[in-house]
Amino acid sequence: MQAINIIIATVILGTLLTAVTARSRKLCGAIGVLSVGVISSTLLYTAYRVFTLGTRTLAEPLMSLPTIGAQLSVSVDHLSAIFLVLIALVSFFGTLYSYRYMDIYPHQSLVRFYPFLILFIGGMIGVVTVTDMFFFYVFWEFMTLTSYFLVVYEKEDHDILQAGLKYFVMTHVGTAAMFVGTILLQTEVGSFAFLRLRDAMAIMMVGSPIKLSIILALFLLGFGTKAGMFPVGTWLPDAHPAAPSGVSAMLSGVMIKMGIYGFLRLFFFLLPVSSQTFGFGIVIAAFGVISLFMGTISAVVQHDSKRLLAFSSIGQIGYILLALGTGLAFMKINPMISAIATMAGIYHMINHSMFKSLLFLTAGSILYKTGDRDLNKVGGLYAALPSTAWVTLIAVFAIAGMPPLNGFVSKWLIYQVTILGGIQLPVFLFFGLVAIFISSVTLATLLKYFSTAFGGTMSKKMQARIRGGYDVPLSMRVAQYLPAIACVLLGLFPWVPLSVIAPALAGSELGTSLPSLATLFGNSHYGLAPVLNGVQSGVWFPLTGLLVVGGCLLAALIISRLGQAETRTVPVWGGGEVYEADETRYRAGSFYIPLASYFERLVYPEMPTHKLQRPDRVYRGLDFDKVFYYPFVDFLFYFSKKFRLTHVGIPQAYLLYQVLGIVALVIIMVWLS
Amino acid sequence: MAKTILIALTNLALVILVAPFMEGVIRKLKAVVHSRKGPPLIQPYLDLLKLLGKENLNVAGNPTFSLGPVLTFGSILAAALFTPMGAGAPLGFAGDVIVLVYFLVLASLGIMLGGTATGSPYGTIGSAREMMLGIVVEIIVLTCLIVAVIPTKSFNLSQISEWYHATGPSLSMIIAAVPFFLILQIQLGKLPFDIPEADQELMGGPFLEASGPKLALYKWGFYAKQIILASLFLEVFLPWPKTGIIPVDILINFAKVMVVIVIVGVIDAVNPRIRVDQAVRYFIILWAILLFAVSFALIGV
Repeated sequence: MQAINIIIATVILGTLLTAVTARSRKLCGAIGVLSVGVISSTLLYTAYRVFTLGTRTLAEPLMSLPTIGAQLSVSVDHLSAIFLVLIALVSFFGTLYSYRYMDIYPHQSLVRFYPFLILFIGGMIGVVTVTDMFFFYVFWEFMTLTSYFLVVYEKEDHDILQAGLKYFVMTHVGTAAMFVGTILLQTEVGSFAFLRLRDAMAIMMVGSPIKLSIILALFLLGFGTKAGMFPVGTWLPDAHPAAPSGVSAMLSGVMIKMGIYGFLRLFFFLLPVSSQTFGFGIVIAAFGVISLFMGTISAVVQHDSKRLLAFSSIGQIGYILLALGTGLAFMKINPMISAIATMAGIYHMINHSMFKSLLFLTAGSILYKTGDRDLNKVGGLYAALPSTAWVTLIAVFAIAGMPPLNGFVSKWLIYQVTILGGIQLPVFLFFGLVAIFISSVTLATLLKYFSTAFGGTMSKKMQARIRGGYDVPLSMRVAQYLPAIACVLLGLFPWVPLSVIAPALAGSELGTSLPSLATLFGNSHYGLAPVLNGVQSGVWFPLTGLLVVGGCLLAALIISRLGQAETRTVPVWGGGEVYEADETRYRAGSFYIPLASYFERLVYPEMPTHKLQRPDRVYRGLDFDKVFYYPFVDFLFYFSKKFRLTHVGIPQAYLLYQVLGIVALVIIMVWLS
Repeated sequence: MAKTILIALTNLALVILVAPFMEGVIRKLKAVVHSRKGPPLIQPYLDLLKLLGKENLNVAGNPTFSLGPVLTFGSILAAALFTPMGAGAPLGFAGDVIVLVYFLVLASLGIMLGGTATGSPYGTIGSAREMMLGIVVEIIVLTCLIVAVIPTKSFNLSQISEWYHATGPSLSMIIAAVPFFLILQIQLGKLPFDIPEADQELMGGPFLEASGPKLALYKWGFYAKQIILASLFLEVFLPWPKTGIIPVDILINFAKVMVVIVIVGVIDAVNPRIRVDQAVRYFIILWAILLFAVSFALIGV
């Protein structure tokens, strides 16, 4: 496997070169883009080899720690390859975008950006390719640390440091939980290798099922925190807006998907099918529904563009978790539903990578052009950002699930499996109904984003303030076009991603009972006709749909031209007066207040309201920031402060500590022997 | 194949050519309720013809403003091809009922895009209201349909309709039919739910700035939507009687659609408008009732 050498060499070289050349901004950016380009194309090539030839494994481990039973061995199976493709694409979009985007930070050194960016990508690649829990943890930490430095790039801003600290502490609590789980499993078999951990779980399933459940719950906490699952993933809405936009796109596009990778690897590949799979399936689906509900309901009242998108990410992760949970729960009962649900979850994850990274890039373009990311303060940007407006519209249609784009197909499959699975287990019917409801709330959220930013006319103040030139620079525009094209293609040819996902599941617990794609989705490669419960449960042919919509739109256009009406440009009608655009603008903060007031006390953290707020125990209990994060950080600070008192600066005192330490050690050793 | 194309053309002819006549009937009816004389039955045709030739005012210089009406009318035409109007959906082989519902959502998305593109506060408020109502409407429409999906285990409209036609009325479907019928009012922008347009306060809301051909497409879209939604309602919740002879079935369906639209028109004529938060609360209660229908469907009654 030559590819791994190329990647390691590029990561090291790229990091060093970008660090050395950081003073020359152009050169540093070019080297950064080039390195990531090399890494991405190598990853794509590797993934292509895996898709065509099957799992590729490195002949011998790169590193071995026999004392603790850990080995750094690298293996890329179909599942890893899917994630490698996502990492390759989104990282490239993000870096290409950053090349010009970093102009908005003229006083910040690039030495704190590109080297960390490349290391961050390297960390993510490590996470999805190692076959050993110990090194999984090592790369996981590596990824978290490097991304922390990217989040706090603007280190002078107090709020951003706060957001970074929150991110750092929350993900580490999750990681700690995960590590405890790993150690508990490791003690059972004395090895960290995935395959041995699988044996450990099989042993525990018979011997100590309760302990196994606790371990799985710890992993759920760890992966859920990273993935942005509500309520433990609430670092997202603070950290995503803090990071530079290219990095936000990567955080939301791929990094939170690492949590999903963990879920998939653990629950679908390592955990043997049992009552635990069923139970955790329902738990994960329930957390998914809570995430999608709380995330999207909170997103709909935000007016900071990137915060809105980050909350919406929590919501979309909820869809993915709902689908994966359904897949787990039905694994034994109904393999057809299980297989389609799992595929739909992975499909939605791929889709979310594309449209959410695109949306973050467009939010970045607004920030680049106007210097503002508050939707209350911008407006009428179509005139300044025409091509960005159109790609945003594509992304909005995709995330809201409008046919024939990609979000529609995956959401449609999720509805099918939850509703029809609900016939067997009614709770999933309820989950499906909530998912359908939230789908239109997602539309509302993104419509607000689009229309407040791009609708209307620009005020004179804004015209004076924006950066000159057509739209954003070409490299940024290209970085936006590529995911937009992916959104369209993934929607029109659903068979392609599904035929990549299906072999990925062949190695999982589903593998033995996994039906072929033709049995699941019908024989035609141009559309999907899932068969559940022995009946064709639904049908969608995207190309036919596109043809019909295209034809009908054309017909509508022709009809509107029939009368050969004259066109004239006029100002907006304001009841007879002519107003400056800013005077009459209906701002983002005012959208949907009557609807949102129904969910007032659920909205996280709180919504602007004119009413007096009553304290609500249940809600306060749900707010993990208040009950968990802040007390924890306070305790940490308190402890550090007290601990500092022991450092008195007198050498004799330190000698005393040493003596006391030795005495303690001797006592422990005597006691142990 | 030829049969499918004929049915597709019939559907399109119904929603494009016959729909304005239905509107004429409603206007006449409304006038009768108000003790007025009312316009002639062909007035909507004359309106559309005149609007198509009138000056097309371009307000914000924002192409999404022009995209709005085209998207609305186009996706309603597409939805018509996925709707059974007495003879099975012509494109039922390519899309199920979720596809149909999402094409209708796409149509209202067109209205909202057009409404917000100009930056007119009236249009934006109207669009935001349209969206809020859309949120509650979509879930209720799909929940009603899911009541029928549970026993058939399929989202295909033809299977749902055949099943209900064969087994006869069931309790869950009767409960589900009521909210679906009440939803028609909101979907068609009729009183008491014409909150997004709200002629007296928002002066048409999203349609305020639309003129000439744009307004014609919006209006035409609404007329067409009446037939689509009424047909969907009838096909799922009242599929009787069916003869099996396609032209007769289409005529029967047309007569039934007429009755439904007349009832909708009467409700429109005698009600005042309610506020948006009242409407949302009303539909949340409706949805809670629908959950009973879903549970009944799960136990098979």
